[in-house]
Amino acid sequence: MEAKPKSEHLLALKVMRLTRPTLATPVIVSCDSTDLPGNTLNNELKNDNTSLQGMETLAVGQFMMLPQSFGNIYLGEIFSSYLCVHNGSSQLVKDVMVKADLQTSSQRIPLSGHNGMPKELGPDNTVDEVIHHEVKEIGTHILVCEVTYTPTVSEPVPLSFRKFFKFQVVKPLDVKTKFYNAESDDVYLEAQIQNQTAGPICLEKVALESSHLFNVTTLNTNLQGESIYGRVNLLDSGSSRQYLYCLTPQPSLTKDPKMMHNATNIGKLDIVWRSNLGERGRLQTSQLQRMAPDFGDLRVTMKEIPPIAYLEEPVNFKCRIVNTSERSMDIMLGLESNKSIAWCGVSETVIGTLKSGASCDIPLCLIPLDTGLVTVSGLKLVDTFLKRVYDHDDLAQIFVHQVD
Amino acid sequence: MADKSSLFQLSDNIAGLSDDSKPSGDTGLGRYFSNTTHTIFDEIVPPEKQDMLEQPSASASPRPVFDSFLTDPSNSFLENSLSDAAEQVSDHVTASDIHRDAWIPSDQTKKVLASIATSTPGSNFPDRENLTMPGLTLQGDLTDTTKEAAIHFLGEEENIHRNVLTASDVTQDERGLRNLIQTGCYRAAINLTGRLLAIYGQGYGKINHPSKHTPHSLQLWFTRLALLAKLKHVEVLENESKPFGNLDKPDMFFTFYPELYGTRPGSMACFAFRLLLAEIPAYCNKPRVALDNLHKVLSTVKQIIKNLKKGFGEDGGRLKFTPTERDDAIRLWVGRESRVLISVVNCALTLKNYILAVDILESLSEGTDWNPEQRQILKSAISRVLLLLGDVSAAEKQFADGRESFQNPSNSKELTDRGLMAVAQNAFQEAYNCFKKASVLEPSNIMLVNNMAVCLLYNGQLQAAVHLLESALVRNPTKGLQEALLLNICTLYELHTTHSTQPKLHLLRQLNRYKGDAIAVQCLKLSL
Repeated sequence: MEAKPKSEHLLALKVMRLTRPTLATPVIVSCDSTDLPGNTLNNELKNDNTSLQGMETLAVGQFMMLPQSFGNIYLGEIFSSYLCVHNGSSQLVKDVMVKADLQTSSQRIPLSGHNGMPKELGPDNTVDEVIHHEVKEIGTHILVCEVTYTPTVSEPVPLSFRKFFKFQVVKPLDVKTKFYNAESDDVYLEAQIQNQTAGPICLEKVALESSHLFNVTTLNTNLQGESIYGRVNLLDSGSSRQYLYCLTPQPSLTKDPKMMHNATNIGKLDIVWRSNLGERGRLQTSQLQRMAPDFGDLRVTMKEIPPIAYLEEPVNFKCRIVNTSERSMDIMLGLESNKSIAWCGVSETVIGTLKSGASCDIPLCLIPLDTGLVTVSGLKLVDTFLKRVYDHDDLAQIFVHQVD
Repeated sequence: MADKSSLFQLSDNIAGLSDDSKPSGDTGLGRYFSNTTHTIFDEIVPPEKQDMLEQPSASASPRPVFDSFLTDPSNSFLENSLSDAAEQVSDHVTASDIHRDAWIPSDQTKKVLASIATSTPGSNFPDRENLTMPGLTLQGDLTDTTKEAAIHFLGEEENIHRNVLTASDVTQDERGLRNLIQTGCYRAAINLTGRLLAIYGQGYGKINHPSKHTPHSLQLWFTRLALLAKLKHVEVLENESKPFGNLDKPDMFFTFYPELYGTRPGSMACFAFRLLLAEIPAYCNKPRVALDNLHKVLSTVKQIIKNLKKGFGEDGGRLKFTPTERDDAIRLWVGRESRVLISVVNCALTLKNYILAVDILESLSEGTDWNPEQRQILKSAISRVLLLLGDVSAAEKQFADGRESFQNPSNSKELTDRGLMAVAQNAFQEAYNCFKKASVLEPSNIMLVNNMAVCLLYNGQLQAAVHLLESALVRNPTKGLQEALLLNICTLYELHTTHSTQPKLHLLRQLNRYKGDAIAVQCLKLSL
């Protein structure tokens, strides 16, 4: 045992962060037996503990190496550490307590030793503990370890010392979201996830946990059910990936435009990633909010519009009118033809009273006068009470074919 | 020998250094190849081998061990004794030599070589830019760092236990070199290569000075650079490898020396040297450069295979050979192709380009030249790459693929795979159990003991981990005293106590007694 100054403690505390082990591999140089080194280099390779037995030239070994540095730690990962308190003195020590807390900028989190029994520790014995904590904050963290004990040989006065280990927790992923409100009331969510860690990661799970108002379909696999991101699920450092989800509102929601309009809570993204030898991290976004589209006082949508139309042949469909205002309305429907389409029916018809939130379906017919992509326009709704006119000039588009 | 060129005499000189009793005269073979050089290989070539030439097909079994890593598992270079290997070495050009040395020079180099072939002998004075001009950048010898550390920490008296070879303790030739490598004295071996290369005029400070090359001098360089790579002597490695480029200068080909080798085709430098040079940037923190180099080598190898399959010689020229010889040549080059691909995988892993690594490993494992065991090794390697990148479920699928007993593994390979799988799932107790079962089946496998110790640490059993590794060292000090294991055990010592110097010094004492000079003593983490 080395001599040490009197002021030093009888016990010593050592801490090591336990990231996943790495796999070691030798420097691989091989040659033909006819080359100068003969088989010496090949034999050395074969005798190396870290080489892959049976295929020594391949650097994918199985020999686990302990972590050699603290490394990076990211939000959502588990911080694991080994605490070892060693009695380097030649005397028995009593009442040994090891306490570990994690101090962040906002709180102090107890990690261990807060309700343990004091222990006795003989010479050269250790108190060992492995602590785990999921980091949920970004920024400076300080692991505060406190050891208290009572010597048995010298004065039996309780002694204690503290050690601090500081580290930074950084953000692993950048998540950007975009919403698309479809005509059909479906909502599409695009989530762009960027890997901001230092190395490649595997996104094990990126799921949208929707609120009860929507049903989610994930659009990230092809028809065969394979991932669209390639056979190897890997996202390089700095690279991004887009995930797409379709949210279909519950039937109860589609019936009530007001409720639909207020259904802005979409849900949360739950992301699990892994890196080196399975090191795992997990993040959940906060509740995602969509901007519900503003339809004004009246919302008009096209229903049952046929996919194909022919030149100068009537096209029948329905037009749904929803009163999205707060008041009842008396509505009159006007139809104005143009050079691409001719409406077929009576213009200036009175539809009647539509209460707030109510809807009605009006059958309509038009005749395309032009081929190609034609915009359905010229629908005019008049609130006869307030004399307010609502023009709807971009209702839908139909593709018009020449008749064979 | 008076009629021979100076180059000839030079190599004879080297041979003379090692062995005065070199068989005199080239017997009957000289009439076929009056230009063959003499190297020290001569001393160990039994005369009866010289009839190889007459029956090329009989001797054409170009299956060098280097490739047998891939093509023939049971084989092994382990069984081949040194003298067996030496027996295959001959300076007489056999059919298998021609296939082994074959290479396709760049167009530029082809042009230069063609102009030499068509000019009158002696009238050709090559430009400097066509010359490879290597030299040592290391002045003086590398020292034995283990010995130095032992003296520093344990005192002069510890030196009486140091009993390792130095460059001066062995014959000053390649046999001596092999001796040094075999006993783990890489530094001494490097020093010896330096001495031998100085005789070729390629010693310290000779970079950019023209000098003559022979297959033997290039073998010395290969050995030297291979050992520098092994020791991770990056700076020297980078500087000394630079003059060789990619071995495409005209003077790297036999036809550059028509007066010596006549029309013998091929590269003077061996394939292993070519591969090493391509990989060296990866050791020097430039893995992308290495990846480019390897792909260039790969494309030439593919061209050679194509040429052979069409019935041409490797370089696309007309060559007469028997079907057996051709098949052997194809097998040789397909083996080399796989070897280069494996180097590409290794390089991709350095770059953390796991997608490329998995791609190549998958296409390799679909090859037909593997036996079931090798195929399984490749598959389990793929799943390990998937584990490295973190895709645990895909790795599990790959592990299980083609193994009925995977849920209940019985052999040590499966148990090891299972164990690593458990590590990835943070189940260190299960992992420990797997490695332990495997270790019962394969008690001498240090990797398994080491992995058990690592698992113990993650389960909070530091002392048990230390004891396990220490007992492994006691059982087999020569196999156990390797850098990776030492680094692990010293990491454990440091975690265990502030007084970790004592057990580390004990390790140093053992290194001093049992090991050569190749260990990087830094793995003991002793503070100077």
